[in-house]
Amino acid sequence: MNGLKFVFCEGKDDLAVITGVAQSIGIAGLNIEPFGGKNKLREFLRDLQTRPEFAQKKVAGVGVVRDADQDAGAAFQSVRDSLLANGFPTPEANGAVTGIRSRSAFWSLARRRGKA
Amino acid sequence: MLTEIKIKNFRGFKDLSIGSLKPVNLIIGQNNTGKTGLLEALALVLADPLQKGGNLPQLFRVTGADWNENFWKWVVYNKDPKTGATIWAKMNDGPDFGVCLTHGSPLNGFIAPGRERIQLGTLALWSTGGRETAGLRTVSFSTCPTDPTQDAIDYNRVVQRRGKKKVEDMLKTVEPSLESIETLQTGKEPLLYADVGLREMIPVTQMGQCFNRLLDIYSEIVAAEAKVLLIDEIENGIHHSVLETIWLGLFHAARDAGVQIFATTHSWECILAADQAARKGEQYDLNLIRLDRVEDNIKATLIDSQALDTAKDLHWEMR
Repeated sequence: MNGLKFVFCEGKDDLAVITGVAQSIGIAGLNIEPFGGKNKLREFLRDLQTRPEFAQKKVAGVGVVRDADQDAGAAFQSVRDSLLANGFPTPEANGAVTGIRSRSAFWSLARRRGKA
Repeated sequence: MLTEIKIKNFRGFKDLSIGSLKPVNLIIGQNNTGKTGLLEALALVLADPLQKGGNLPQLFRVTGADWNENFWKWVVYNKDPKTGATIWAKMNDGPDFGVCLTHGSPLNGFIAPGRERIQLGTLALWSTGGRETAGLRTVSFSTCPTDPTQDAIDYNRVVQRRGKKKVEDMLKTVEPSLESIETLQTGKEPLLYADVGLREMIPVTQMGQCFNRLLDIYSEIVAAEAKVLLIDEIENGIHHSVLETIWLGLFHAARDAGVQIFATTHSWECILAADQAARKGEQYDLNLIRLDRVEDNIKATLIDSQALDTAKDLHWEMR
């Protein structure tokens, strides 16, 4: 799929990890950027659409990675709601990819002890 | 105040609509995305109905003698002779009004603005009729230097309208040593001189591009009672350190004199300065509009203060 591919993660630590993982498994051409923490995702996705790459429809795919915290299901739902509220295609499950022209995906980065 | 503009088949705009216009509208975008074209569309639709379009080619662009070849020929989208270009504007307290440019008969709803149709090169210009925009005096500022003699003549209108002190006070924000500006005729033609506390007054042409640009803008606000300012590349020749001061002056004019401003810029510093100045007002009067080419059209994206905050925090390239 042609176009820019973005992976958005919570902070700088996640950025370093995902960049390293992408390099180690040979995935090139990803734009990996932090969105500033799980509480900022919804506003981030809203504002994202004013960026030239998005306004000019140059983006082929968006991935969101966030910490699962205590409840992976709730984390997934929170990301899904934020994507939905801002007009992005919404994946049906953690790790799934959705969308036709522009694709969205969600991955939980780590599962801490507890229910998840 | 203009609240909305709709443009169809004009220059690179196939179909553009921008609503929610504010007192100050800053237009950004890459080269060839229609920033100056948008100013031209505004100038055309706001012009006096009987003088519409006459000087449009020279408002913002340097063109040769053959205005048809250099300008009008390129005004209709894709140069399609069957297509008419239309521009509609909406005011907050009046009816919609518009103009169209065609290669022949007017489109539905448009008539000749006067007794005869106005011919602009190979194009005919039509309007929705009436003089709806007569009270909306529009002044344009290009990046080209102005004529010093004409500036001196124009400044007499500032004096005549008792606006001299007001203009001088506005200019003191960028030139604190300024005491006064006078029109003197020491040679064949009158020139403007600035008293900056030296033994001799100096021609304002020696005061730098920023000073002259602001003198020009402030004079028009005061003397011409302009209601719409169209300013191309507003940051041109202005050091970034005074940009916020200049924007504060423009926001002040927008609020106090009811002036609506449409300006273009390529400068991130200029955007930030406008944002800072807007935040110092009682309400956020800035509309940041980015024009983007999307396939065969140009699209406008409105960037609000929240999105601009995010862009600043995350170092996004928004121009």
